[in-house]
Amino acid sequence: MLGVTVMMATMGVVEKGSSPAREPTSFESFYRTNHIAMVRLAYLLTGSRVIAEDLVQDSFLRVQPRWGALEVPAAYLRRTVTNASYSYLRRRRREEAFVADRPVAAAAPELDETWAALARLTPRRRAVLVLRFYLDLSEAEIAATLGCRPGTVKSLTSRGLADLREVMEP
Amino acid sequence: MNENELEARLRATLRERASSVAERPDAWNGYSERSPIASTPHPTAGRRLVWLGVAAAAALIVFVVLQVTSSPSVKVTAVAPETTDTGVSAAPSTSVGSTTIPAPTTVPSPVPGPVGLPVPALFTSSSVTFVSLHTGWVLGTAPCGLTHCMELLRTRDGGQTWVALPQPPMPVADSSNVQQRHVRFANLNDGWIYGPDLWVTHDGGATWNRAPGEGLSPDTPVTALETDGEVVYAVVEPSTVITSPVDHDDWRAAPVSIPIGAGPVPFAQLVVQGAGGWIIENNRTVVGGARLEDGKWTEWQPPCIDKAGPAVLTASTPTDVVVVCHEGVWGNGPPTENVLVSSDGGTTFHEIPAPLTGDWQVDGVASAGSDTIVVAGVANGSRVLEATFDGGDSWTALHSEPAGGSWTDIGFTGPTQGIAIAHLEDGGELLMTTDGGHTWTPADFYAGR
Repeated sequence: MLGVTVMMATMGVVEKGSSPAREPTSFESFYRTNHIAMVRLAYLLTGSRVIAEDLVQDSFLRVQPRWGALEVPAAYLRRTVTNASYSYLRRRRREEAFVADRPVAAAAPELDETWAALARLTPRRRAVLVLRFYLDLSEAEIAATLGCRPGTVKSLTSRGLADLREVMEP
Repeated sequence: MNENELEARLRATLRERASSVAERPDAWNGYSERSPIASTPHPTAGRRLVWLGVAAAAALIVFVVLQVTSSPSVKVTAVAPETTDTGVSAAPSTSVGSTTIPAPTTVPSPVPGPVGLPVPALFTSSSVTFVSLHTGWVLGTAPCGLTHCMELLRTRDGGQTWVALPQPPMPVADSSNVQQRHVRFANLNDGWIYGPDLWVTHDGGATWNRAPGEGLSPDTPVTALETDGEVVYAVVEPSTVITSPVDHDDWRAAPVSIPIGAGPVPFAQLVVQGAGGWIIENNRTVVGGARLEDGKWTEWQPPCIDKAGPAVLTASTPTDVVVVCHEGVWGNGPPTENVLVSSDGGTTFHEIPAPLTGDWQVDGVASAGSDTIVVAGVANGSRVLEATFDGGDSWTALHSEPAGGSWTDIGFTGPTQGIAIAHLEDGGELLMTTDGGHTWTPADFYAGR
């Protein structure tokens, strides 16, 4: 069985297109290396920059006490941010309809349409699509991040894409 | 639109949205001001970092000294006020606020304490304490990564909204360990987490340290702790009372001896109310007690010491004491709950007119004046709250859940405000009342988010 530590060690936290870097040697360096990537991830997951900033700060505070003891702190951080965002969305959906930030200016219309459609997905399906199509994580990596089975990830991906298509092409 | 086109559009959308979020130049400065923990090098960094760290620290010290001497407005603390606090403190709530009626005193503004963060998802409560009608803390746990972490929440508006403080550093071993941990604060700065070990904060929960002192060791669990606002009292098993000023750590053993009993697990309940204080030592049955009078602990004979069962107590004033005796549990007869009240600080007791009926196991009791007594426990298999509002002439069922469980930290923080933790199989829940105990509702830690 693939252990969790091994699984997490396979998960780089740097944004797509970046090369995996050596683990930073101070927490400040770690923070500076990963902060914006995490805010962007949380923003894609929650749809709110303000909430994203809050969740990422919370996540860094949670990681910091155990940072020195973590094998791959960046992977642990990403998992913490993803779970915090997912939990926030689930809680938010229970309370009220999801309201995303206003559309960013200069976005192409079809991208606005996709973004709006993404906001209508369930938190779990949205999280899977963001991890799959933004971070390019494998099904196994997404499963480790969300704490579910790879088969569930495959199913959620399929359903998430179907939902997107249905919203965009009613 | 085929699947490839849909995926391509989704990728483009996510990239475009992500690129719209730019890094704030002051991100690290903002974070480091709020983080209570100094940066530490990663262990893989190697020994050379020690020398780099020494050099950096020296440079930082020189820099800070220069800044402090050259600029009177330099910010030296990482403390920021929140807007919801009234800036008013009160005499501490003792025994989780066993009816301390606040006597407001103005404290300097801004209010101290660490900056709050969003309450983590799936938080469950294990202990609660209030120092005024407005300001209180809840200790509990929440999922973090692959495990659970201790969490400390704070309210400054009487429980309407909550924020998470930096995670207390003590480990969460298992569920039974969680239930042993309790939190108490004396004021906005000085607080303790105890059970079985003892931790202390003097900066409102931003940082926690093991409390050093006489009688404290890993083999001597702290089973009870309360404060009167000036002095903090703790019971360290087996049956030792230790005290310290609240604003610094100077723990000393009090010259009082409490019988330990012959049962397997000695466990004390400590109540402090103004100048009065009481300890009941349970070890299957009530085995002894102590009383705080004129600032000194002396031996005290609790009322149900010969009734073959344990007891719980509370106090609404330094003279008004209530004891609920679970009589006959370790005897021959059927168990009964006997509610006794005292108006002379525990010297004499008398039974209230109406007994509690049913198969009870009382976990806690709270009192808001001479007429109102609320008992929390398990009765006939259900987790219940019952109360008398007429001095014991009649009892009213307030809350009943068919599941079992237990209660801790029940108390009143004012004439109408009360708190209690209901422990369920999957975690604890904070219940609050604002109408003198007539209705109790679960706290919403996510309100306003």
